[in-house]
Amino acid sequence: MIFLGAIAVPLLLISTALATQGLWLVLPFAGLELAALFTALYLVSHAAQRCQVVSIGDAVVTIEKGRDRGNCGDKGGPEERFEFARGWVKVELAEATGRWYPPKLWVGASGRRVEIAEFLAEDEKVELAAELHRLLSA
Amino acid sequence: MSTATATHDDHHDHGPAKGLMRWVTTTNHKDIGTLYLLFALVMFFVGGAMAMVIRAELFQPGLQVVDPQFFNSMTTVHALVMIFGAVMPAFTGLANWLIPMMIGAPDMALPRMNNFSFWILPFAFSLLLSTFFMAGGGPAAGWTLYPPLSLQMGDGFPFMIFAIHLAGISSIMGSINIVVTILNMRAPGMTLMKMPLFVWTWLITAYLLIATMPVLAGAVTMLLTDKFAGTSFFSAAGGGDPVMYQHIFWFFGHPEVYILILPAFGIISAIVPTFARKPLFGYSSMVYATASIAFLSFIVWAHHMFTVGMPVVGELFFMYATMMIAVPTGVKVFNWVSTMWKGAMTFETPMLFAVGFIMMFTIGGFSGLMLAIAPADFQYHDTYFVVAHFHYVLVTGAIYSIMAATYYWLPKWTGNMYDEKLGKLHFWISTVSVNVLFFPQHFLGLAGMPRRIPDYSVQFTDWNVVSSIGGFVFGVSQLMFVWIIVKAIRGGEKASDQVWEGADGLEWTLPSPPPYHTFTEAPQVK
Repeated sequence: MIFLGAIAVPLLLISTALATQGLWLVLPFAGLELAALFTALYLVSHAAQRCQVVSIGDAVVTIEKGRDRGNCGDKGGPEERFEFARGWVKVELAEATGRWYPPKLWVGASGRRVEIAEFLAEDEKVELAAELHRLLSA
Repeated sequence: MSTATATHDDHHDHGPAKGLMRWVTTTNHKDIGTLYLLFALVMFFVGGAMAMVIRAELFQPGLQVVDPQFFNSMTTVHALVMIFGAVMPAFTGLANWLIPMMIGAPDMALPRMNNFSFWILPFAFSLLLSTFFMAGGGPAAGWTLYPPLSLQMGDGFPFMIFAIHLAGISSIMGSINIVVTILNMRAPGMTLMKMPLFVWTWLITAYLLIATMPVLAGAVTMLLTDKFAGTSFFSAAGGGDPVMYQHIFWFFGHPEVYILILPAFGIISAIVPTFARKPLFGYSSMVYATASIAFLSFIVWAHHMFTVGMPVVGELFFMYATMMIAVPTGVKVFNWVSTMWKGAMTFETPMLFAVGFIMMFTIGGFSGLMLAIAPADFQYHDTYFVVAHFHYVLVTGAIYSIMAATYYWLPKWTGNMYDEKLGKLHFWISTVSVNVLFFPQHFLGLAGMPRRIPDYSVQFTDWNVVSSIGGFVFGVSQLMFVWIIVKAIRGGEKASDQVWEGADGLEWTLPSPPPYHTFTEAPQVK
């Protein structure tokens, strides 16, 4: 936010000053650009903290989704938490159906399922699915 | 209990796609860095060819090679191509290659946007160069595009404006990506004051770009509407003011000058400590000096317009503000020299270019100080003295730093050492010829030869002959640079991971060449 402010204040000041001189066309470009910068900063900082933990216990498989990097529930616990009976857990990997439709990885049981690892690349999802299969059958 | 944690860091190495589409669709920072650098190299030769036309025409007085309109197009497009097509993309290419590796990030923050921001550029410059084949020819009003002269351009005018917009969009997207990467994707422990200076200088450069590009976009759009939509932003006949265009342009243009040199400061700050085998002297002061230069760049724009007419108070303000820039710049030069002081120095090619940069950039800085003196500027303004000044800053400054960076990091990028003998030969031929090319232009300017003219009075002949000979030798000698790069890409002595004994930084902890995906697990920085 400090960086955004350090850019926005001088840019809006000069754009407004120019607009008062009749040169108003700088202002919309400044607005568009600041909006793009804010969106990029927000999206990346938001996405960079995403975290998911799949815990495989003796009886229960727990999926926690949160935002604190390194520990998905550091401040007030995870945002979402799902529990499934281990004996019934199924790991499903739906293959990519086209260039714009990447594979999806679900974990679920008893009619409920949760998509995990949405942010991983295709081959990484395949590897994770194999790893989960291995751990669940151990 | 077994635990599988899925985070962004859970990457596994897989190589690039095959074929041409790898380069079209790539989102890998190293691929995109390579594309930027190759594009910049091509544009360097396109802009260089235009410089050869200029120097051929100026070899003798009288009109020899091209007609005056085409000559003016050459000076205009040479500048646009070199600034927006060669130097800026080269620095962006270096940023793409190096920033993620220097801060321990797996890639740039917005890889798809990274791809778009590169691929806009070939279209932008094809559009700009296509104006040569349109009725009325290419832009010929100087890179500043002052109205009303620029509005007299032929059919190519809207295409040129669109090309500038596209290049600007590319720069903004590149800058946003760099800012977001640096602020959000540093490895644990990599605090701001532990970042390499190249990263710092790029963060501040990106700040300047984002803060000034809308001003350029607005200015050229108002030119467009003045020509085609009946507005009178800059037309005195309609109540507008052409001088306001100059104010707006230079409010963008002067920070642009620092956009072209700040990353160079970062490069030199990486190379000098390596070959002096000492840590950089005054790291914090380097950071603060860079930030000071960025701040001052916003309040000095009218020193380009001393002769246009402004109140004496205004002239004094802009004169003193401009002179103040010498202080943080002097801090930098002092720190580089202090780093070298009593160091165990060796002079491999990157160091030669870095030392050449320090000496010749300082010459350009001093002539800049001369130009900052408002009463003296009335004599120097629009003469070849100005041409000599900014070429010392941009060629022996910005371009020398890019060449230094290429030699310094090429072994890391390719895994092969470049030919050191050829590299040194390239440096010495370039350095002798570039001084033969540009130093006499100081004399020509002081004697009163105006810039942007295809013909001149006979008393200017001798130094123009000397300058042109220097230009031809410098131009041809750059083919050596290409050959050295090609040779290193094709093979040669294998480079170690460390490459240079005194090198320090995360990029040197990676193999040479680095794998397609690096830092899949974030390194810990102490």
